[in-house]
Amino acid sequence: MPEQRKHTTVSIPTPLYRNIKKRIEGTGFTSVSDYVTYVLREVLASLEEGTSEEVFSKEEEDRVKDRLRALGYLD
Amino acid sequence: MGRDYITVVTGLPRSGTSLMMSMLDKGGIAPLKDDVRTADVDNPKGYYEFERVKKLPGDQGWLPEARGRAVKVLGELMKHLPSGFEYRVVFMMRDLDEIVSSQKKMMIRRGEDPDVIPDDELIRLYRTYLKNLKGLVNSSENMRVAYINYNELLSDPDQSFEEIRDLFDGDIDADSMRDAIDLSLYRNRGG
Repeated sequence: MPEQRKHTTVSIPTPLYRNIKKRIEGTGFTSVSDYVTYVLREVLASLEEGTSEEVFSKEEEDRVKDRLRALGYLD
Repeated sequence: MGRDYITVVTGLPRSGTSLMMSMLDKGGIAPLKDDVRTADVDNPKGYYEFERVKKLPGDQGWLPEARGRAVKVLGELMKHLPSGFEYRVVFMMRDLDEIVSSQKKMMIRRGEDPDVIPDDELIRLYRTYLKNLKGLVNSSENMRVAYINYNELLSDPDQSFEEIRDLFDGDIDADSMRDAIDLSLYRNRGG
């Protein structure tokens, strides 16, 4: 059985690649791929954070609903 | 080929949902509305509401009628939209200070106390509320969404039109939508 690949290739514009390469000089990142992987993980993590529900107590929920009723938008 | 999905306009009250309904109407997506709530000083061009929406989740019988049309669904009721339909969602956002200010004027005209919740507290509540609502919409497989900022829509409509055009795969007359914008109705500006 062929071993499943652990990496794949995505394309980015060459100027962006050059820009990143310059940016990571002197940092701990050893390659543009490492840096892009790091950034994308950060972005995905923040997006997932955005989809998780924040704690909204029953009382807070009721206050919002009361407001919407007072405005005539909710029965 | 007709639109087989339901177009939903949602957001907080006073976030520009009525304006968006009228824009979509101009653009070629007819509204599902009943005119029970008639135009007034708060919404001189009408509310574009369909009363049966407020009966969700109990009354879902109107949803087939909404296919191919645009219907306004208050954010609070989005969680009750049934899964058996496809939705294209225009999610209206607006500066929260402006929303609260506009809501307060509306409450006074309705004879309600506008200061039951202090402004700062209400803005905090709305932030969390909107975040949760966006989470719901983003995670629903039967919803495609465009987030449209009311303030940007009025100041620089072209970018918003582009996003709306994308949402409908180009099947909308964005140029005609522009006719619905009446800057004289843009009150409660921040700052």
